[in-house]
Amino acid sequence: MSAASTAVNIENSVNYPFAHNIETIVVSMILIFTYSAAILFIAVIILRVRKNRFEKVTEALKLKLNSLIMSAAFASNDDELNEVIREAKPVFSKEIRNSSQAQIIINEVLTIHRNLTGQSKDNLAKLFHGTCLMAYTLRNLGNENWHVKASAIHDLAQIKAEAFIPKIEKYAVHNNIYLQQVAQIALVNLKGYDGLDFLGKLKNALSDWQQINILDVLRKLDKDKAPDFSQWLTHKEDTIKLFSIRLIHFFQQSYNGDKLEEFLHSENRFLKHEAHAALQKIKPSQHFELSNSDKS
Amino acid sequence: MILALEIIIWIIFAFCILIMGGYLILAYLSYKAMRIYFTKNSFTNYQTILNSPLSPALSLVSPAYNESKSIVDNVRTQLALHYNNYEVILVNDGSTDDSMQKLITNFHLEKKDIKIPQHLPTKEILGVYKSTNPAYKRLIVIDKVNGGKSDALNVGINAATTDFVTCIDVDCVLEQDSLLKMVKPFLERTDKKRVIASGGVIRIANGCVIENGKLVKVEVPESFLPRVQVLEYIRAFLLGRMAWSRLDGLLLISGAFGLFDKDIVIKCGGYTLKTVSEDMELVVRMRRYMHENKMEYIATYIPDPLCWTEVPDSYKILGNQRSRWSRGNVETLWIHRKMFFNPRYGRLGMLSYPYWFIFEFLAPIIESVGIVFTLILAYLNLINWNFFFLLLLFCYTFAILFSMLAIMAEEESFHEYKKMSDYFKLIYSVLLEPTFFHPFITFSAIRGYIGVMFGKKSWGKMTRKGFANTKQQEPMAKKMATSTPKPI
Repeated sequence: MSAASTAVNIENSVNYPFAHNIETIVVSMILIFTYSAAILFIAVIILRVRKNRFEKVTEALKLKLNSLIMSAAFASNDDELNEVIREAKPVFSKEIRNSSQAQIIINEVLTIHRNLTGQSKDNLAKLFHGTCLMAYTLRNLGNENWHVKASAIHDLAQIKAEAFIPKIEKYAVHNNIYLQQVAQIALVNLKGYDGLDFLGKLKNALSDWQQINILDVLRKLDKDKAPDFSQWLTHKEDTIKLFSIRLIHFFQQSYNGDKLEEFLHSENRFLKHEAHAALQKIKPSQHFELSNSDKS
Repeated sequence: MILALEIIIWIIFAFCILIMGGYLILAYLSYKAMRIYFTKNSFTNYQTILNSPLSPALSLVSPAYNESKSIVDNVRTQLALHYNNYEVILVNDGSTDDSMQKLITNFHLEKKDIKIPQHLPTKEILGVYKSTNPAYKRLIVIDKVNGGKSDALNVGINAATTDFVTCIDVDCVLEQDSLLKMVKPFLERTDKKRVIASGGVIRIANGCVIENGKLVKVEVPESFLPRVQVLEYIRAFLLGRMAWSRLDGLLLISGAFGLFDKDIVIKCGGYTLKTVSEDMELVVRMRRYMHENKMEYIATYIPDPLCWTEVPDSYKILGNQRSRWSRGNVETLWIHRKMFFNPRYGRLGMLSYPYWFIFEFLAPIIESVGIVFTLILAYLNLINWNFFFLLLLFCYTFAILFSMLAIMAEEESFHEYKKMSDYFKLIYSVLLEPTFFHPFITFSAIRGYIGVMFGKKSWGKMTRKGFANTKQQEPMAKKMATSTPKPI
């Protein structure tokens, strides 16, 4: 608003050589601002209408799919399941043309798959494999965009598509940290404890966030089959050592106590504190003390 | 004489163009940052944090002064957040009402002989209370001599037993999953870069329906002032801070809700009592400390609306609040003047601080000079009125465009205001804001600057209506210090 004061005597003064140019520029800018604001005004309305429509379509689609997915899940024999798959194929193929709708279908199948066990769970895996959903997911796995690829890896892990482990493995040490994280979790999901093999090859840090996610999958596995987690205590990367200590702590591998004691003298305060906490739990009969400076 | 006037006028005009350009660049960067944020988080399951034994413990610190009418509900809300491993530290800053008695009765508090470490110097602590009821085992109430918000926060930080402290205004409504979202940036850290602070979007609760401390319905406020502030907050948080976070130049995390690395907060000396803008000052000081000690760090910001707060709905209270914010800005800029265009502080010194100085501190002054100038020229009959109105329209249309960009960002990201009527109410405010609201804010800022010149230190008073259980309650006549977070 303050610039309004440039209006000084603009037409009469010979000392304003650019007056007319400025006027033209200002008028042009006003028009640009006005048109842009008007376009945004309309764009927001269109966006709202589209969002509303999308929500309605999503609801309708979910309703339509639900009975189909449930029929597949609770098919009592292979013939019945094949019949449902035959019925589902054209429906899925039609809806999957739109990527948002495709993801809705996949999510619906995966959500129900996650909540079921036994035969019903297997049936949904077969539905996924037997329709265009698997082809769509694999196509996404080859997509150039990392988040599309990551989404495909996530979906493959959810549906327990073990056949595609080799394709996923290379992404566990990928340069893109987000793609790497999804692939690592997928591998642990698919291979169980063996899925942790990527730790040996990993050259970058393993964030707490990633450790939480991996541990979340590991917690669901049989504790008795857990490998010796001390194998990563000698890793070059401190965050992986930290994760090893945490795993030893969580899985109560008291036989690794001696190896953890070495970390009480580590220069890395995180390792030192984590080792101390782990030792107190796995060797409760012994007393481990940190020096005063370490405590801070 | 005319030549001198011309030069001043062109400087003002150039400043306007610079501000507009700066805003558009920030808007673009924010848009990019939000896209990245949403893509990155499309695979995030926050429940994983909730269930994990590796999730860090947090301390929620909230200072309270004469909050008797809502304190029990607010503490209950804080105790019911979705997070497993946290403690709630409520610091009663010498309330003169019956806050303390209500807390003791409702939460079965008992005075305990707990020694609070004095990492940060504070006023005297009168007592530390814990509940005898295991259901409230997370709660610690500290009763202390009145010392102001900063002093109360410092007591809470001293009492925190965890590595991370969340400082919140006791009367804010937090989203249930707010802690899960706020802690994630800290978990994503590797040893290379330490996350020292994380902030989230503050939204306006006026007009919303809040039941039992939970937000159940979001609506645009009916009255004009809060509604314009809705726009202002969306603009500032979605089009401003996201960009600064992306540029690693964030200077302010709202006092209403921020998560901090306690170790760094203590090393920096905690909240200062020297300014009324203690939230901004702390972030600047923490960042300065990290630079001066050559420690790699980041201060992050997430665009999710995590905290809802009530804003002033009268010109008098709003004016006092904005005047106080301006004073706080000046005080913070003055305390840290060493950083101004100082390459030692990297982007902080070369970009954030100068931006804040030029665009936030100088803008109201230059605007006011422009207005006074215009009036003088009008009096001297030296104005070409056609061109004057053209320039007025130029600024007005830009303001409209920028607000529309903010609304677009909100629609594309969170779409909180679902009703079409809400959209049209916002548009109405967009059209009116530059004519009524903005000049008033500029005037209030100038009042703040004058206050600094005369050594004014007080916080001022604010009457809040409160939002417990209804959409628009009868005034609760609750007097308290203005602590609504800055949207700047």
